[in-house]
Amino acid sequence: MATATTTPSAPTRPAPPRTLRAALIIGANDLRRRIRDRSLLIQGVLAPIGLGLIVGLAFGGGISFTATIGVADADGSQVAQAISADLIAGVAIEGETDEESSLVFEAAEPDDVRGQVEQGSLDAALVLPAGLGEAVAAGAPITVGVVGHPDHVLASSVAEAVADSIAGRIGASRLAVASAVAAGQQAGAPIDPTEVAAAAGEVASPLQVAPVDVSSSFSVVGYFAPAMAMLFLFFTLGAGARSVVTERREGTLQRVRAAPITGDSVLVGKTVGVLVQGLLSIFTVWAVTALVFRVDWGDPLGVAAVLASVVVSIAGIALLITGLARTENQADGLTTIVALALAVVGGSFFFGAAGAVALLKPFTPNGQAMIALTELSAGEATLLDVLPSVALLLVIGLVSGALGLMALRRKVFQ
Amino acid sequence: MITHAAGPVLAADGLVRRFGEVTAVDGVSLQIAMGETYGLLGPNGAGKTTTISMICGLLEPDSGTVTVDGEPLTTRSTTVKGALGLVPQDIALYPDLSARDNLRFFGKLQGMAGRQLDARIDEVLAIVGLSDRAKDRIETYSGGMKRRANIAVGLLHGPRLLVLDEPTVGVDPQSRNAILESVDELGVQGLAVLYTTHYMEEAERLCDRVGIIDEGRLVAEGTRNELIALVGADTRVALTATTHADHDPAGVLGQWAQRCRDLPGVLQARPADGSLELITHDGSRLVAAAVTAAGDLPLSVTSVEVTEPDLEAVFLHLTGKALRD
Repeated sequence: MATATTTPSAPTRPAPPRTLRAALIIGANDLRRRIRDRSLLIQGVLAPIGLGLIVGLAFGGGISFTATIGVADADGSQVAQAISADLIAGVAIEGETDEESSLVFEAAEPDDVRGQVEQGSLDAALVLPAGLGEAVAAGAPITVGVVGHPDHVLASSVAEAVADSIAGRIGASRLAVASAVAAGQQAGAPIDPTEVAAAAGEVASPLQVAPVDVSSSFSVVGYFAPAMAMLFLFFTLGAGARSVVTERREGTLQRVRAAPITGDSVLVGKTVGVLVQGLLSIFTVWAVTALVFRVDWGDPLGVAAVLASVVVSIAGIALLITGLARTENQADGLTTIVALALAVVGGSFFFGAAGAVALLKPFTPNGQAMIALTELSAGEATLLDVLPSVALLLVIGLVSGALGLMALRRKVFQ
Repeated sequence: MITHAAGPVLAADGLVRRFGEVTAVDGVSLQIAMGETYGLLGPNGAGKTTTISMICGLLEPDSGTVTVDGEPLTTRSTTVKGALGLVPQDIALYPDLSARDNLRFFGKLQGMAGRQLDARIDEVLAIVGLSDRAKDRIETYSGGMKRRANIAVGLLHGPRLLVLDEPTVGVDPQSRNAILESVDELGVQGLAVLYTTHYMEEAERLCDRVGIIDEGRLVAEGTRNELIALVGADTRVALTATTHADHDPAGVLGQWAQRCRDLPGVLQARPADGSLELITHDGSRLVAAAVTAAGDLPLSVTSVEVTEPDLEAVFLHLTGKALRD
């Protein structure tokens, strides 16, 4: 039988770490390893910015922007003529464009404008429709047509922005006229509708087109870098989520679980690691594009909220995929499929959207985030305006993440 | 401060674990006292690793209990796990981190920090002989060095019970010897050690007691001598001889065998291929008597081979198969 040759005094073992501390230790270890092997730098920062530039060059013709947009006046009213004149005079362009960038509006024939765009003599066109002047006078809805071409998405986007601007300004002028009429009524003066309509038509200034800041609103890298960053988040965070399965295969998870910590701290730690990696990745992309490429992403608080929530959203999806997949390889393959599908539907590869893609885009995390980021970068939104998007992204992330963690717990710990 | 109860450091009672239709572990019970090295000996697939997984709280048993220092241990336990040091069969280390960084990470999970942790890391690295390679990544280590680093993590927090799951698999002889010496020393220092292996020599060399496990069941348990006595394993003595010219070798050896059968303690004596094979309870003392018994027979004894009973023979006797089957 065994006999101990010495009788050691009772060793003093340290108190085990609390759940949160253990989770932070595990998350920090994952982060350290990803930074040390440079996979986070390559996959999370360099790849999205590089691919953003490449995709931008492929679809948008480079960072510099050159476009000729036709203005077709199918109405001929005083209002339409005023708008057309303003556009051609260049009042629609604001902000500094670089030496290689230019945006020109030129008159076009309404009957021929679609053909000109298709042939490439125009990059896009605005069509001021017949009845525009009467609609303005009658207070009816205003629609300014846009003719675009898939090869010139930037120009189409500019044309759409200008069209929106025209409709907005007409709304503002109506409000001014309505106010004048109301003031006249209060003064007891007789009101002649014909005179008011004419007055509205003559109000040139309120109908001027709102300037579009070409240099800030249509930065190619400003659009595609975050789009690609979100695509790569799936790969970065997918690898992070799969690390729990990888560690189980390699045996380190068993050793971690043999430590005096809870199973929850292991899963929370892995999740913390995934989230921090995602945040580091996308916030670095933000910083680099802002500092190096001078991209204005818009209200910093709004941008930070959108980026953080999209990381939560994609991390949740990555955890769900890992939890549901039968094997590590299956999880890897599914992550790639889901990432690419959402990138296409969510508009990560091109500006704008049409048909089913346009319908589905807001329901994808990356699409929802890109909508919010586009509004922020155009200066049309602040943190408050993007809160619904942030909330939706968080709901997607929390629900899918919770389901994923439940599945992972069953798979890894039983 | 964590206090220790009197009694065995580890007590596993009636552990059962099934995977579908297969019963991997079937009613295993064992106890290990302070300073005792207990060997769990069995072939691959016998249920050793599953037993260890339940003992370490990694796998919930279908039935049975585990207590460490008198405290129940389950998969949901935390504090009591601090009394355990696990050295898994696979190299459970991060290959892209250095030995020191691996130790620092696992030490923090044990609640260690600061200077205490750094000092203890230096200590265990010295124990396993890796002080000069502490800053190198594990992936640059040889197989034996990885095994030693694997053991260092298990020792780091000063556990009461060290569980080693086949720690010498795939290791070169030099490293293997170093590992065995380290484990030997741990028992001397008062650590309770549970050591699984399918190498009979390791169990014989290291373990105060051995449990023989096969197909999930602990078929026997005791000290080496107790196990050998349990199955009545005998010593085999082979005496090789050359017969003088003009004599029939078979006839001469037959005569010698007949004489040996009358010697006290001889259970069996038979000629075989130019030698005489004796089965006895006490081989070493019988050799001289057997040579003397040859007396005037026309033969010369050229060699003697004594094969003592070992755990391999015990295992063969108990299970009907070899350890490496």
